[in-house]
Amino acid sequence: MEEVLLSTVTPVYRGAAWLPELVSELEKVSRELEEAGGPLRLAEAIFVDDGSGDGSDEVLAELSERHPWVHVVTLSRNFGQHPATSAGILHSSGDWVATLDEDLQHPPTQLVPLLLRAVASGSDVAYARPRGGVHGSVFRDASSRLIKGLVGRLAGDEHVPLFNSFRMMRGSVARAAAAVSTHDTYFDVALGWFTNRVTSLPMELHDTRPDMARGSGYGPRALLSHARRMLISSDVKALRIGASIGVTALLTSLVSTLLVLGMWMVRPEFFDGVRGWLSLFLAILFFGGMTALLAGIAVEYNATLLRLAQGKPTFFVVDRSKDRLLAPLVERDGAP
Amino acid sequence: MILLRQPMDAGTQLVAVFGVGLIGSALVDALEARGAVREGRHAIAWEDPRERAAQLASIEGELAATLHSRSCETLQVIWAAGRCGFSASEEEASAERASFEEAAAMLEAVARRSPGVALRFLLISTAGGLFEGQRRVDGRSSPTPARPYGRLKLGQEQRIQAEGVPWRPEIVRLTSVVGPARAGQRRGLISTLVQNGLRQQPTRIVGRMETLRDFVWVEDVASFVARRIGSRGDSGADRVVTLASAKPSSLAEVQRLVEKTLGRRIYVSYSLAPSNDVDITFSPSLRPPGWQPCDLVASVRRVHRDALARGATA
Repeated sequence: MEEVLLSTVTPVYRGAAWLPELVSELEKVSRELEEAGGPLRLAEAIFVDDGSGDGSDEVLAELSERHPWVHVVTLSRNFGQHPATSAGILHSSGDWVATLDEDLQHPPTQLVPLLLRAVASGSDVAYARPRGGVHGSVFRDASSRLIKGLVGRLAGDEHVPLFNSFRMMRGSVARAAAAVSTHDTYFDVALGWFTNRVTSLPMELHDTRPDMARGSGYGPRALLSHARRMLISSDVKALRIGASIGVTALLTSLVSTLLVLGMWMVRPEFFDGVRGWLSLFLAILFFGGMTALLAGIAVEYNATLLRLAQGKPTFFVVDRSKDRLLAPLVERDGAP
Repeated sequence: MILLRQPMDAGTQLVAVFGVGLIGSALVDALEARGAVREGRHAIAWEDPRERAAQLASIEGELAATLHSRSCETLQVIWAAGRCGFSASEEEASAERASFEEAAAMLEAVARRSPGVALRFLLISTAGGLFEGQRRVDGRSSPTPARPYGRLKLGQEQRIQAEGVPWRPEIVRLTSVVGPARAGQRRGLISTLVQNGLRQQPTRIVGRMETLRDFVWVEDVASFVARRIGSRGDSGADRVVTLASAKPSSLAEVQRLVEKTLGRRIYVSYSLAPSNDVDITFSPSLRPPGWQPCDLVASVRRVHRDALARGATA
C-alpha cells in the first residue's frame, strides 16, 4: 500500500528534562496511526542536539537505542533554533515534515489535525495558531505579536503574523527552504520563497519553560535578533518608499521649476522682493529627490544581490498528488 | 585488474582489485596509502568474450603463481568492475552477468590450485539499485530491485554467497558515490554539475527537484574498505554492510550546493522521465561501526577543487 510518511524535527537546546515525555507522546501518535491502518505513518522523529550541554545528548542516545524511529543529529556547537531546524529538516525524508519544540508546548496530539488542515486547504504549510497567550507573560506575548505584525507590514508579507515554530510542511518544500537557508535566513521567510499556500490551525499552546523556572532561551535580545533576521530575509518593501519619495520630489522640483520659469516670463513682477529663496528651495528639492532616488536604486541593487546570495529560487516545482491518499482521513475526521 | 601485495601483522595477503573506475582506483590508492605494494596490472577486455577468456586464464595462472612465490596466506579479491549503471539495459546487464560468472569461475579455479590459501571475495554492490523506491532503508528492509542493474547486482550478491563457494563472501553496498571526474569513467551527478557549471554548460538531470538521494564520498568508501580488508580481527563483522551517509539530499539541494560552491548559477533542466524520480533514503541505523562519511558540502568542494586543478574550465 502506498504510504504517506511523516517526519518530525525537534531542535533541542537544554531540553533533557522534556525529551522522554515528548518521545512517549510521539510514540502514542505513531501507535494510533499504525492502528488506523494507514496510509499515514510516523516514519521518524529527528532530534537535533544544538550544543545543549545539559545531558540532552545522553538522553537522546538512550531514546534512539530504545526506539528505532528516533534519530539524533548532533551539531558541533550551539547554532540557534533556525539552523538546528534546517539541519533536522535536511536529514528528513518524509512526505510531510513537522517541526515542534522539545518542551512540550507543541502537543504531538495536534500533528495529525495540523496535517489534515494543510491537506484539506490544499496548503503546503500549516502553522499552529495559539489561542490566547503562550509564554505566560503578557509582555512577551504582546512583544512577539507586535514584532511579527510590524515586520509583516514592513515586508508586505501577510503570513508573517502566522509564523510559529510548530509547523507542518510539505517535505519537498521544507527541504528546499532548509537547503537555501543561510545562518541569517529566517526559515519561515525562506519557506515563503517556495510556497504561498499557507494556512493555520488555532490551538492551545503553552510555553512550559517559564513554569519550570529554567529560563527561556528567547529573551528580548533573542526576539530582536529574530526580528532583524526576519527583516533581512524579507523583501523590505518599506525601503522602496524612500525611492518613491525621491521620484516624487524630483518630479515636483522639475514641474515647479517649469512653472516658476513660466511665471517669471509672464509675470516678472511676482518675483520682486527677496530673490533667490525659490531657486534655492527648488535646487534642494531637486538634489534631495535625486539623492533619495539613487539611494533607492542602490538599495534595490543590494536587495537583488542579497536575494541571490540567500538562494531565493527562480521557480520550484512541487508534487501534491499524494494528498489524495489523505482525502479519506479528511473526510472521516472532518477538516480541522 | 590491479594486483597488490599487502603486508599484514602476520604474513602477507595478495589483493586483486577488479575494476579501476572511480571506486576501484580510489581503493587502490587507499590500499597503497596503507602500505600495499603494486605487483602488476592486467587489462581485461570486458567487451570481447574470447579475448577476455584468454586474459582470465592468464590472470588465474599469475594469481596462483604469485600466491605461491610470495608465500601469501590470503587472497583478497575486490570486485569493483562493471560498466553497467542505473540506466543499463537488460542486454548490457546480461553481458555483465556473463563476465562476472567467468571471473568467479576463474577464482574458483585459483582456489583449487592454491589449497592452503584463504580466499576472501568482497563485492562492491549498489544500495540504490537494490532498494530503489524505498525510504528509510534499514536492517529489516529487503532488496526489491526495479531495473536490470539492480537485478544484476542482486544476482552477483547471491552468486558469491552461494553454498559451497571457496571464499569468504563480503558485500559492501554503496549509495550514490561522489568523486572527481576522470577521463573514460562514468561521471556522477555532482561531478557533472560541477564540470558543466565551470564550463557554463547546461546539465539535464533525470529526476525531480525534490527527488531524494543519498551521497557518499569515494575516498571515505575506499578508506573504509581498505581498513576492513587490512584487519584480520573482523571475523564477527557483518558480511553485508551498507555505506550510506543517511542524510537524504534533494536534487534541488545538490544544485544549490554546487551553485554556492561555484559562486554562480548553473544551468539545469530536469527530465520528466518518471523512471528515475523515486526517492531512495537510508536510516542512520545502517551505518556500520567505523564508518564516518564526510558531509555533502565537503564532497562538492573536493570535486570542485579537483576540477579546477585539472583545468575543467579550459
